[in-house]
Amino acid sequence: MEKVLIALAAALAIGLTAIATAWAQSRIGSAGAGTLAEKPELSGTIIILLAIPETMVILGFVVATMILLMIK
Amino acid sequence: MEIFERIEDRGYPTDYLLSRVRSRRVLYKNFIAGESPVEIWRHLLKEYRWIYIQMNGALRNIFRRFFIYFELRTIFICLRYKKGEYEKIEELLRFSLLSDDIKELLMGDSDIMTAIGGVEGAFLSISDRFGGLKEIFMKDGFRGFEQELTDVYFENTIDSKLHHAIKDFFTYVIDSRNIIAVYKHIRWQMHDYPSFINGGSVKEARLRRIFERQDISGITTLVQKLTGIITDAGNIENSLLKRTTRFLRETARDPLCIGVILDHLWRCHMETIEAELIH
Repeated sequence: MEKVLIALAAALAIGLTAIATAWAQSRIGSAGAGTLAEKPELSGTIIILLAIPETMVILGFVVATMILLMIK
Repeated sequence: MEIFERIEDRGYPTDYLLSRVRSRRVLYKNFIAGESPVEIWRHLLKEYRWIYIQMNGALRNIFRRFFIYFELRTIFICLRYKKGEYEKIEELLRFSLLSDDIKELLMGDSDIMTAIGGVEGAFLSISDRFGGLKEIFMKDGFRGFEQELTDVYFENTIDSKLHHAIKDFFTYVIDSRNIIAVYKHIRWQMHDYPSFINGGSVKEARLRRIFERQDISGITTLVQKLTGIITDAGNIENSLLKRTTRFLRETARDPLCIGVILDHLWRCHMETIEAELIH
């Protein structure tokens, strides 16, 4: 039972952060596309802004890995 | 008959348009700088058309009433030009959002009564309250027709389900029109009551009282209270316009709200009027 709960916790850690990242990137992406259409010189800034939410899913992945490593 | 042209929904996300509009806001003034009045109005119609095309279905539904309000001017001018100035009508309708059926009525060889009947028919698709426009035109001419269509349009709009920013915008416009109507009736010593539009934030009874007392200072006090701007009789319209502009600017502060688009559309309109006056 404990193993199931640990696996579920790991799944939630990666799953929820992935959803949050996807949502943030979809909004930043569409806003970024709008900005680039008017001001193409801002492409560097837009790429950085688009990459920021990626940290959420990376951290989620790290936390999930740490949780899974506990199962021993 | 439909009022607006059917334009394919490209499904662009709202954030995309909000972002484009935010970047575009500062550029519009440069577009119209130094242009002739005809060009200035053409730029405005082009900008409005461009924004409407970029909108997704949900945004178009929100802004539909706003765009129709601005197309009322196109309809009125075209009907007045119908006596023979076809080039001007064609120019006005080039970037208009009106449906092909209405454009045909305004531009084609049909007589004025048929055109008025067609416009009435198109607006009847919104509400039955638009009935009887033809009779009003026969009785009171263009002025009566324009007044009735505008008044009914505002009343019908304010009674319909709207986004809160659009609703507030129309409330402000109705207030401005009612107050200016009272002011003009007093100033020009007209004895009949002005026609008030229902739905504003200032009660009709209050405006009637001001009119009955022929009290210009009552109007300036009211405007001062509404706008927070100390004003004299010559500046009433200006102060009321500033109130609307200020409200829209505040709404546009939320970067994820449609107020950004509403503010841009209004700003384009105001800058067009200013540029035309300077020219």
